[in-house]
Amino acid sequence: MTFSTVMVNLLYGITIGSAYTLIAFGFTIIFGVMGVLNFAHGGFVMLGAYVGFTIIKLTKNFWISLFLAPLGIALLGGIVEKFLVSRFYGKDIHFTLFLTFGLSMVFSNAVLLIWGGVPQSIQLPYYFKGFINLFGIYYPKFRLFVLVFCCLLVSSLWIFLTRSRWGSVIRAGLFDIETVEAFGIDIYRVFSFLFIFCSGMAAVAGVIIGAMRSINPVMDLDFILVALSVVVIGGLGSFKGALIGSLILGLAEAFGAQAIPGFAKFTTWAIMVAVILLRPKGLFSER
Amino acid sequence: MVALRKFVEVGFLLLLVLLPLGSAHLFSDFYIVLFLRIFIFGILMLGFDLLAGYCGLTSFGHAMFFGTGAYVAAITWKYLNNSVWLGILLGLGLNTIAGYILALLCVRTRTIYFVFLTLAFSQFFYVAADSWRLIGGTDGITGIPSPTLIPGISLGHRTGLYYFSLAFLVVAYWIARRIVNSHFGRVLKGIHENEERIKFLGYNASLIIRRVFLISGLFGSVAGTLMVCFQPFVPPTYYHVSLSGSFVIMALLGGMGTLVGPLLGTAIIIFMDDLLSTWFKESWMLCLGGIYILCVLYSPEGVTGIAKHISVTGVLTKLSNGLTKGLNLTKN
Amino acid sequence: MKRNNNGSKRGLRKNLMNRRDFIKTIGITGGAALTLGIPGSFSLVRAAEPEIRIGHATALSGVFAVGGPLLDKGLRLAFSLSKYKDRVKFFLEDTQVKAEVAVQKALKLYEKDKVHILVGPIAGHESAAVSAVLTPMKKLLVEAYGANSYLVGKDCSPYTFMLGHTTYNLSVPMAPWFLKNLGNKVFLVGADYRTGRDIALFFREAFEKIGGKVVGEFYSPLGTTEYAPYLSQIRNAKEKPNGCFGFYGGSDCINFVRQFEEFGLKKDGYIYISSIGAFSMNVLGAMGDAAVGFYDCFHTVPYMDIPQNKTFMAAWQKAYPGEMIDEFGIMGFDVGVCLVKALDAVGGDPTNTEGLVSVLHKIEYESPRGKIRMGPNNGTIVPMYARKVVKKEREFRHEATFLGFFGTPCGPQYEWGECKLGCPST
Repeated sequence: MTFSTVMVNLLYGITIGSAYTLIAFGFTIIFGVMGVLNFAHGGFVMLGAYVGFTIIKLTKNFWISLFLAPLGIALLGGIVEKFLVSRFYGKDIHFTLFLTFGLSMVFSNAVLLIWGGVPQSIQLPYYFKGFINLFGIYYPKFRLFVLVFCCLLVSSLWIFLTRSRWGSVIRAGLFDIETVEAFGIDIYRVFSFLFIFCSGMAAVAGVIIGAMRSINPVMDLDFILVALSVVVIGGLGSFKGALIGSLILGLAEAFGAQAIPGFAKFTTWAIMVAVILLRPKGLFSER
Repeated sequence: MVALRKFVEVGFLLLLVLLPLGSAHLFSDFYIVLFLRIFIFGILMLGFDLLAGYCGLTSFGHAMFFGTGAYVAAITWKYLNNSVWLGILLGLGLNTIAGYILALLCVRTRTIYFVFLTLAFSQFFYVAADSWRLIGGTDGITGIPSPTLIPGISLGHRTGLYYFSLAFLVVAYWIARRIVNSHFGRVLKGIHENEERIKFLGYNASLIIRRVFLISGLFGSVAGTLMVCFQPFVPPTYYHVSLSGSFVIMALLGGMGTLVGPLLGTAIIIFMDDLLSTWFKESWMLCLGGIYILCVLYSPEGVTGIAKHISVTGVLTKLSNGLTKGLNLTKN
Repeated sequence: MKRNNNGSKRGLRKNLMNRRDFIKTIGITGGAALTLGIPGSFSLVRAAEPEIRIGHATALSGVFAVGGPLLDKGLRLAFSLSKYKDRVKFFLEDTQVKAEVAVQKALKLYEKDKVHILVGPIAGHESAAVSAVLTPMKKLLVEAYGANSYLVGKDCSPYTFMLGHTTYNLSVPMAPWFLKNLGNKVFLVGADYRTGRDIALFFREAFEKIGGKVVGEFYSPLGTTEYAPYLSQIRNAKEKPNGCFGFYGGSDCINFVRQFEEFGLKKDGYIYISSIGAFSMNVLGAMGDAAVGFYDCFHTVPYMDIPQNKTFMAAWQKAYPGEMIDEFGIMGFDVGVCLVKALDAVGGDPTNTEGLVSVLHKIEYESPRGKIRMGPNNGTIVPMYARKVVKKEREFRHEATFLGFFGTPCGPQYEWGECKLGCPST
């Protein structure tokens, strides 16, 4: 492997890893605080991508889409939470599992019905097209933007978690939600906020990743597998776990294709199995 | 009382046995195919219920056993000898080894982590099979000859396979019932209720869980082998997490922990799959998902849960009340 | 871990079902099944009608979803222009580009919907599975795509007909063209399944025989969305290739080509050549300008200037105004035309499967591609073109170079073996 190959893979690994963090973070926090296994999380990512696609087609403006699509999906998340998910707080996880599974089927089919089965591409503004020459390696401009943007977003998330009041409530909730309730905080409001926020975050990831690749009605499966893989590697219910797990996953994807030719997907899952063997609950599990 | 239940069971069984004979005249041959799938998946679901329903460990990776049983059978029948028994035995053998190793790896965790682990392993197997060109890669194994019951009688004929699978299902059900009603079965339920207490009583909970994991895997292995009798190819998607997930859904829909529940769930889903994709060509998945959501909202314990909560007299009373009110209104 | 007040873990109740519940459960399920299922199937079993039932199992979702609906439109159009337009009934099913689903749907179409003819799936591994299942049942399978050379070789069947192409005639004719027009160094790529690998393999054999050289290769799983790790391998090849040849289709093609451009390979003079008409009109629409200047190999060119194509284009634009002319649409129409001709030869009786089979075995028909002839191994002999993607006045077009007429030979010297029905002399 040459230096440029390693650099490209490294860059790509971190880029996609930081994008995956946005997805995995939402998934793991929802479970960690609320005890809900959200199988429809990949669906929110996909819906974010498609809504973003439509908004860009209508307004021809990438930034408006990046702003509005997550808002729309967050709203959807709020509705889902209020009318469906909230009935099962405190109950066995099988209920929410079943529920969100059904929901993911509804989302996937709805996308197929509304937008059709033909894969679409999100059109980028002209200044994102093409590539730049970084120390002799070629890297697409848009991916560089994704890298910067996601790093910023992830950092803001971290700051929010560690410095703000809501952040400390969430971190406390990850630890023991009953004690949080005992402090007089309305945990159901916290739950609603969390679900809305994480769905919106998933949608942002959807728009960004959708713009890097093409979008299709079965992409939600890929993303829920990403979320699950990160949780297995990084551990449930921890931000650090989501971040490190996503980075590991991203780098595995990037380097895996080179490591054993023809066994690209295999490398990712081999790493996961290796982690499981050493730490069955993930690297940074808080439970 | 017990006699009545036995009567219903036997009667139902008789119906299933007679089905293929009348099928060509009453309705199309196609339903034999549907029932065949129900029997095959049903065998797997019995094992799954032992693990998930009675012992409380929801496995999101039962496709592992299914797929391994299928691949072993395929390779056996294609390259070695196409005796169906050899395929079944070798499938069971490899699955015992795999199940033993997987049990050691997966049974260190419980509940949600167990879900994740089994899911991860299921996908791992899928990706390995998809990438490994020796066993066919993405295309899987094709061109598998029909297995023979005894040299001379091929199992390729659909009706023959129907009875063969039905026989296996009956035997599997009998075995599962025996396990559930035995001491071992009660300990399983005990582990589900309160594992610590069981440990205090002196049982080696880990060992017991590993055993039931292995046993449930063997059911899956037979199911996978039978599937290859029916469809002469094995794609790597037999290991895919979506198949594992559908097993969980079938069990949840029918009602876990009842043995009959998952069988019914399987039947319902396979029938609905077919019906819905006929009526709603493009939106059947949406309808199915919607049904799942409604099911969770109104009957979280599945169909068997519905049975527990309604009573015939209750329904009749409500109906008659409604009728009376209606009649009164029209009078006035 | 959530716990109840008495310390036991919460979980679903799993009491052993008592007798009453058991009976009720059976009753509910049985009743529901009967009310829903049986009447439905009764309605399908009637006395034989003079109806022509055509089943179409294709990709409506998945990697090749771009093709399914268009194939269907073309098929229906062909029949609507024929004398069977009032008798024909279509049954469309989604195979999701999965072999086991394709087989399920094929069986459903034949046994439940009682179709007379099945137009088959798009992907090569799907068509192989369906053919293997339908042949012992003596059911007809007609393929517009499903590129799989084995189906005209050792897996050939008297009941399976490949009207489109096979992996042989989509790769081998390109070898001399590549050598003459681009150079003698190729980098092989493709989707990692039978079709993708075969196209690369057969090209390699033909290319090396005439003095070409393969400087590198990779194959990525079907449905890969991320080609970054692979594209750098092209740059790092020991010698710079004159072109990258290999099959990516549908959404794979869109992702690969877009990223090919994004990573600067196109700007640095690397060219990609695909196959199986991957650069179809609808796919080009989704790719933007990334594919302009690239090539692919196919036997049909939309907007080609021959009389049969002009008739087809006029009919298409009348029936589906505003809908782009697309390769998949043309191939669907092609299948329809062929079937109409076959039905004419058996007097319009779709139940005469053996008659249809013997007619199709030797059929010649006028397709928008030109005159198409069926070879002895049930694969067609078609004109092949190397097509270049160009943009004319903001619309995509193909500049086609004719390569010759190609069927698919068979015989023990080829990987796919010999077809027991006979092998063409080409």
